[in-house]
Amino acid sequence: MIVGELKPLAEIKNMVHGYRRILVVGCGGCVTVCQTGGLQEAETLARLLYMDDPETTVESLAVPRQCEWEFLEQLKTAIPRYEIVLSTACGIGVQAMNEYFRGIQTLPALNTRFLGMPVQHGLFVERCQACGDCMLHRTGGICPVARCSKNLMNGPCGGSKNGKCEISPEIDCAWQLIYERLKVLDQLERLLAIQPPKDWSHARDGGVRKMAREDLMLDEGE
Amino acid sequence: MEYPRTFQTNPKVLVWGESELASRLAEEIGRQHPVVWALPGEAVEQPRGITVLPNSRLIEVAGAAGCFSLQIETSGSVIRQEAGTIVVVLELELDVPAAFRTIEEADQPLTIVMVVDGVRPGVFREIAEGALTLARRGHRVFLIVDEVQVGFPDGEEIYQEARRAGVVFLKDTAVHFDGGSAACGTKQPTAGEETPAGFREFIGQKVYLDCRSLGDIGSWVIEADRLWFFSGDRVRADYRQIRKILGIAGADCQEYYPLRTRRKGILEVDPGWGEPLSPEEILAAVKTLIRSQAGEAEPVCRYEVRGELCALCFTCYRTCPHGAVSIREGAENLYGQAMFIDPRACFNCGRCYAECPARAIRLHLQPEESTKAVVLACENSGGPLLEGSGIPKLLFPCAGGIGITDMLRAWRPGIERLVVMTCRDGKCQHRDGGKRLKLRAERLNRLFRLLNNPVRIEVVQVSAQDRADEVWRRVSGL
Repeated sequence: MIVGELKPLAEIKNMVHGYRRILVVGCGGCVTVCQTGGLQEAETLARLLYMDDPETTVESLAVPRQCEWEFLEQLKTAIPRYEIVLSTACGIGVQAMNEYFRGIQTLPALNTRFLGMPVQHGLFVERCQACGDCMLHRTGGICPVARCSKNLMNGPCGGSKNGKCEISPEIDCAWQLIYERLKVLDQLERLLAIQPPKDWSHARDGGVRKMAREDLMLDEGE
Repeated sequence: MEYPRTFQTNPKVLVWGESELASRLAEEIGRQHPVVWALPGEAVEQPRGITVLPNSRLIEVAGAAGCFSLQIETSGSVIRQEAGTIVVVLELELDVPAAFRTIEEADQPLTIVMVVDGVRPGVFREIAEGALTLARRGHRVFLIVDEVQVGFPDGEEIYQEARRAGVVFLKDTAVHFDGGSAACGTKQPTAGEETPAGFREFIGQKVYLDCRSLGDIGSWVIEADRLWFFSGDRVRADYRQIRKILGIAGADCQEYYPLRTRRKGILEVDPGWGEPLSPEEILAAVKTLIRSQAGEAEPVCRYEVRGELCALCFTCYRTCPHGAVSIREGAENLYGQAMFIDPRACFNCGRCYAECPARAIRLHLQPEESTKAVVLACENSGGPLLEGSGIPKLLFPCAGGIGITDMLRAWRPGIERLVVMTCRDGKCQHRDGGKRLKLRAERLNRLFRLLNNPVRIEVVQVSAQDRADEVWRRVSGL
């Protein structure tokens, strides 16, 4: 899931400064699950802003997913009542809102942090960097792109110590994990194969990425 | 998704335990109910008319009171077993009298220090009585305790008698060690390790650890003198595992022990809790409880998941202290599934409601709504204490179920202090509901501070025994 984190409140307060009618829009997808942008958090933020200035009208609601036009359409009648929208969705939701509702600005209330999972309740950890060229089948299901601090492709660096990364004793060395996992899978020989330089053209550096299923796309005007 | 209102109850009772008492319980209950008796070893005798599962290990349990489904490994094969009620007869591994025997023959007066941390009332009683005996023999006895427990028959008398005989009771927070207070209570000693210097000063002698005689309980030898260390409930490890699988570990509530647990349909016979009951008393009590449970076929659950809003984030599932939440098919949402609160297991603590990030859980029978409430409390203790005070209040089934948005909604311009009333620490009947509530209040206060907002949420801990006028004063901040 996409993991987002509430922006510093002072920053949010600055962003909405001067607006008298504010709508906080939550998202029922990833940010609900990561406890930062669902209806509960949208209402919390709305009420905190209202308490900060009771002269302001701050209301909240949520849509199942802010990244779908049809869900945004459900907001059509509500939006014109406000001067500004604060979104507690990820950066995708904020952009979708801005694209759909041209006449009103939607501001981000969250910092979109990473793609991860709740390894325990309340603790979210990065698992994927969307590099566009998955290699998990070669690394025992542990991603060196997301989980090795240096994105190394051919084993650990000299900073791996007692299974931890030199960056911090809190961070596991991804290559140690890969080694242990491959050992269990009886595939240690995989470590002997030299990985050629990774093709990063599918990753972030190739500009905005697209994925098309032409068989599913609808004809213009349909 | 239709919420069921009536339930079928499986009359079968599963008894787990290897002691003679477990065997007798199985036999006695078997006279009125179908019984399955599971035990870790071989059964010495085979009570008639009941199914015996020897060499059993509990793998998992699903369902709720009246319809448990257990996976059990028995004599090498894994079977599924259905039961409406589960009775566990615990085995303890702490033998207090044996610990005392090693110093009973001392021919000179000793200084004896005992650290007693996190033990059950029955064990505390044995220790206090042992201390009293030692003091009467002329030894100097110090008892460093996390809590003086008197909640068992003659508890107060034993405590007073021990004090008169010269036993010194010290609260662990009053004893400071170099490594922080109560250091020996939190750290399991290892043989030969020296105790913290601050503690040595307190004793006035050099202290070494010696774990010879008490296994992992540990005893500390002060040269010729002794220091005992009693920690934890000392339920035998395999039974600790069973408690964990059944979801009753850490959910203790003294009020219901030694039989009822905070998971409906599961009874626990715990010999370490309170005055040891006679087998006849236990038999009678278990039978009564099994009967009363059958009467709870139409339980009242005030919380309900609105499937269409459920994001399946598992918050309620993971945090429910009573194992009452499961996944159910057939929801009208993106997933076709939603969380389901089983009324047969729900205690209405409301934690799911308070913590649901999608606000997908509805509170039925919304209680008395006040438009100017400055106090949020529970119906059981906070509400009655405020009765007649004129203080505007908003009541919930339990204070642990008061969510952040409930607190924020209660605010009106001009209010700088909102009070949330909750039970005292350690008295929560829903594991850590009070602690979770406090964390919510702290988070809100942190957010208020970040906004330079003077509003504060104040958590006021009360007990039903408190004097009402005193509570009113605290709540109104006067």
